[in-house]
Amino acid sequence: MSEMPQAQTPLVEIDMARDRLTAAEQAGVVLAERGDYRHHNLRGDASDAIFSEAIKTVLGVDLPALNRFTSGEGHTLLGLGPDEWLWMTSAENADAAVAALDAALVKTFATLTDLSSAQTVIEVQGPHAGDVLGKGTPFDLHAREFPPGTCTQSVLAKAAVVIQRIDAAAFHVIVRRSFADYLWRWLEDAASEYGCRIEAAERRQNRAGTS
Amino acid sequence: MTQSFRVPSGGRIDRSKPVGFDFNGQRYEGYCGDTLASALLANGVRVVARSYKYHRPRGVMAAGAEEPNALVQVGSGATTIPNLRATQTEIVDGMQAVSMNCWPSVDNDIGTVTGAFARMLPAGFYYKTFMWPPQMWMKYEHVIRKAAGFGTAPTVADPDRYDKVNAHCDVLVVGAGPAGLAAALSAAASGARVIVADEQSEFGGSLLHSRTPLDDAPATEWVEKALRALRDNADVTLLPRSTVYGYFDHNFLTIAERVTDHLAAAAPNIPRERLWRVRAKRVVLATGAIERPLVFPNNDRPGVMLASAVSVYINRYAVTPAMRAVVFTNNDSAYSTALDLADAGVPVSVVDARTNPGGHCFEALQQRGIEVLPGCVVTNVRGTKRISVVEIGRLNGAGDAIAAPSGSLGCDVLAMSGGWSPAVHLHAQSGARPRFDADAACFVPGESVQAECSVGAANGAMSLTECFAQGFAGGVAAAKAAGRSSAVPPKLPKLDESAEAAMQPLWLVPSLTPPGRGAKQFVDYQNDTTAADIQLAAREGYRSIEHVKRYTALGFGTDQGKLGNINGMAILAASLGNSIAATGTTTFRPAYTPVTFGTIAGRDLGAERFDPVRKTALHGWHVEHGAEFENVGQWKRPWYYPQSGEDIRAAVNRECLATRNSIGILDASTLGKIDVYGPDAAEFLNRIYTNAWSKLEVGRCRYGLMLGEDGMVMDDGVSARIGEHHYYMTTTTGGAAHVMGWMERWLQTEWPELKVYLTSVTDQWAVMSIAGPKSRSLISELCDDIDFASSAFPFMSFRRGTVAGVPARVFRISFSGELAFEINVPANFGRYVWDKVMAAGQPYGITPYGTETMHVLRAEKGYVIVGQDTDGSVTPIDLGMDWIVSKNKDFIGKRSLSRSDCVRDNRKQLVGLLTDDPAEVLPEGAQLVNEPSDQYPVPMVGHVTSSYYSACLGRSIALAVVKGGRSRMQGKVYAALLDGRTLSATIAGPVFYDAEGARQNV
Repeated sequence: MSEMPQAQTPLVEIDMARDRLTAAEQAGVVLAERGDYRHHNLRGDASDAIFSEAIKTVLGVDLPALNRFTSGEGHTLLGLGPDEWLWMTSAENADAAVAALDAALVKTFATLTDLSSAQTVIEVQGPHAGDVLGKGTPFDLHAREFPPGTCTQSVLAKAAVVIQRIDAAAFHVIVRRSFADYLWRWLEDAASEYGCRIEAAERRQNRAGTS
Repeated sequence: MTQSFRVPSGGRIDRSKPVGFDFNGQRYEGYCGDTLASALLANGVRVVARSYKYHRPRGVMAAGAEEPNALVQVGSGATTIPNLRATQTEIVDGMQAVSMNCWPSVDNDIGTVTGAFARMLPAGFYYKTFMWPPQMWMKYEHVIRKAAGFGTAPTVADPDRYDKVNAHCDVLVVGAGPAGLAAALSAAASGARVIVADEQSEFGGSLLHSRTPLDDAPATEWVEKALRALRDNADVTLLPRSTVYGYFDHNFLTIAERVTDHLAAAAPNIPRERLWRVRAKRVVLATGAIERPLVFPNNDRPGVMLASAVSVYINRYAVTPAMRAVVFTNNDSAYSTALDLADAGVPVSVVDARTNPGGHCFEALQQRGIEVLPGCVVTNVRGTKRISVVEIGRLNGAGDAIAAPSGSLGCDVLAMSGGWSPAVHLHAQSGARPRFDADAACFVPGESVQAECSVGAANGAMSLTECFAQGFAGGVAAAKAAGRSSAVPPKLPKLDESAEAAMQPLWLVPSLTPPGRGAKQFVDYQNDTTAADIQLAAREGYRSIEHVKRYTALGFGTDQGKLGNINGMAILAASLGNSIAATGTTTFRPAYTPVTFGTIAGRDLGAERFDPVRKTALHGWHVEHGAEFENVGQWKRPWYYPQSGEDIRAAVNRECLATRNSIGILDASTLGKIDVYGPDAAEFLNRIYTNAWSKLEVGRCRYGLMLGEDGMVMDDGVSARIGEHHYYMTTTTGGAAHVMGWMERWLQTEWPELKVYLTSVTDQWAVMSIAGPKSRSLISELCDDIDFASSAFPFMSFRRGTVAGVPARVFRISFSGELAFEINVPANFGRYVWDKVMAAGQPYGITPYGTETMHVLRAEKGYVIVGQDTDGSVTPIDLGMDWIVSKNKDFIGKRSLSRSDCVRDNRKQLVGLLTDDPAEVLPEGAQLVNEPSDQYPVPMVGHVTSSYYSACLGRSIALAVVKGGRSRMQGKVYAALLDGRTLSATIAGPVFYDAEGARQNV
């Protein structure tokens, strides 16, 4: 096979070929798919030196505490549970990092699971980003309780999600592939009263990963 | 009539913005800022509705949520809303409103005939008369309901948008009167996140019609200043037109915000109403108090109004509803209404039940030359559609009877005040019990159960000074309890208030005739419940207020007895010789005022949003190829792919035969998939599944069955050992989330010593199952790094490789009984690989099939589907799957399998059924009997769980559970059909096709 396999992100049915709906300056909410991340679920014991050192060495970031995230070098680590993290990367050397982590984690009780096809990121930003998310999540998004650098596992509408506070007016919503289309349509509808803008997404090829 | 009752100046209406509206088909004009009630009063409209039971003409009585009479239906067609209180409905240009409860018209109502026979309609009349004989109720009810009529529901879908939002705050302040604004100001100054909700269009509550200057200026200027301060604070949310209608556990409250109904035109996509779901650390209830009516003969006639409402209409809406007025009171608060009337130029007299009224308020009236008749009460009201005269009587020394008639007074408005009842509704909804304060003669908030406090009139404070003080203190305390205390609290406004003299409780005004003999003394206006009805209930033996409520209808309806309840309870207490405290209140339940269905439903409507639609990576292909879909849990799965002219049966027959003869392809992506990883993974699976997993080699697969603790089949699936410590588990589509949670629960709570990590990978993999005798040749064309020879890649094994250039996990497993391969690829490449497989499959006539064909193929093989052939009461032994239940190890559910009930002889067992007529397909769910019989009930021996026409076998097949079925091979059972026919069937083994399994082992 010489042909390059073509990937489709979970939001294949949504028109993201061009910017559409509200003009940028009038938009209260801007939605975009960030399909360019690779996602891995990471399980291990933070007090296990082999585990934490491997993360630090390969990714160059420390394991964040629960409900916090750390970023650097194209890698982001989100603390999802006492022994669970989500590693997201758009780094050029991601393949090498996966291989290096796999190799390092064999030495201890820890696991790395590829979820690059299992979920996607919907970016929700704009002055009313919090209002839109507040329609669907019972979680308190006020900056006092949920400042940039924090994340949470919660529900949004009727989908389980991870919400990441990027800055005052920007969030990343990480959602399972099968719920992504439902959630996008829900968000687009929820945002309509504020003026919703859809930003074109480059459906960047997400490498096939390993089996 | 053109607003002839409008006061020439003042009020909070905008005279520069006239508003035209229709009421009962007639055109009127009001001003922006008017409610429907104030605009009608301004236009001299006095009869606005008919009462529920006696169809008596009724007028506007109140100015707020407590209005029992002026219920209207607003709008028409799809957007109409019934049961709106005219007192809370803002007029907008072009509004159309009609009275409820009257037919053919409010002025000539056919139902008044009921009024004429009123003596024959005592409390409980409907129960006593119409409930017997029971079968007649259906007929009576039809007629009664039509005559009653509480508005009409729209018959077409509501085109408006509604929405829901979640909100959090340190302090939720309910009510924005003096106490509420004070609480909001002080809480906000402490740095708290504050939400203030008020049901009215304007914040300010009683300050909007108050006579008392604040800081030497009109009270409304202080309100403006307070609102500016609150608006400037980014952590304060102000919600006007927002009714806090429910107070639930964990300080969770719901607010219905009316967003656009007061606008003639709203921006697109703005919801009409918004439901706020608020989680508050602390709640300050500043809900005010509701004035009580007095109970005297004909106290419902149009023109009899609450005294405070008269003040509201004069001061806030610049409407004086009277030419000449009488104030009837037992307390000082109505004295200010007399002053308001006098200021508006209306001649007024005061009838005061107290023998020796005095004090500052009394003196103020004296100074104005307003006549006060002490020790007197109103004994009757004359005038039907509009009052003209009130008759006065002098009380005896004990105050419990009329000593002598004392003449009459001409008037068209009777402003009454029986004292004030704190609005304890939300306090009570929070789980607390209001207590009766005998001195104040009202129920006041009791001990708090949740993180709430009541302030101001809601807490029994009846002076403005006290309301401000409690509000400020309550706001500071609430903020502090929520962890916020910093700034200096704002200072109280300066005010000069006369102290009020004591009130004299008056629950049932003494009259010349006993209740039930003379004119009616209404207690609950909306339900036409009279004092006589309550006394009758007591005589008939009712003791509990809850029972009396249901017998007399006291406190039912859209107003839930906001006006009448307390009087009714006191009258019952007196009839029973009990204290009011011992009689107690009925239960206060949400909603405080009615909430529309639209608000509750929000945007969770329609095929797109009622429930998530989960789609596989191959969904688009299925749509493009005309699939009919089936809901499996929240997933959309292709059900079958009809070609032109095909019905489901023809399509399924074609798909089945194509699979058995060449190749079929199924999208199996929805199956639950869980990565089970860790050194103890095999031990974990041993405990979760009924069979043994320790000896499974890397690269091999095994079918497993999971039981609940009760020994009943819970889920099943094939799991593969894909690494030394790594298993790839599959579950049923619908059971995936439950199994994941179930296994995590066991790991975290019972077996924390096991080193196992679970990760759901359901969404990571697109799964296509290619089945049929040609499937090996096809997959060989697409993959050159796996040896597909039977010896190299045997049945029930797993290989990694590259399919169509994409890294894949390939499983040689079969749910159809055919040679089959399941290709798993990362879902982002699912569509790409599927397209390649379809292209390569063309020469073989590859046929996509859906869940229906999948069901037929597996039923031909006797494979069960958990949840279809099992229902939570089926053990593996019942299914004939003893072979999969290990005797040598422990697993969840094992102990339960030896319960006496699990080992009895006549349990229902899975069998096959062959109808004696091979063309007949039994309905799934059909009950089975041993002999058709006319003797009912016929003993049931089982039921059909799966049933299909098998094209491959040329006949129908079915699976069923039958009592002792496995020992009844070749026996007969019968299924009675809904169309009256009875089908006979012969019991057989559950495997109908290729019993030896030759086809999948090639």
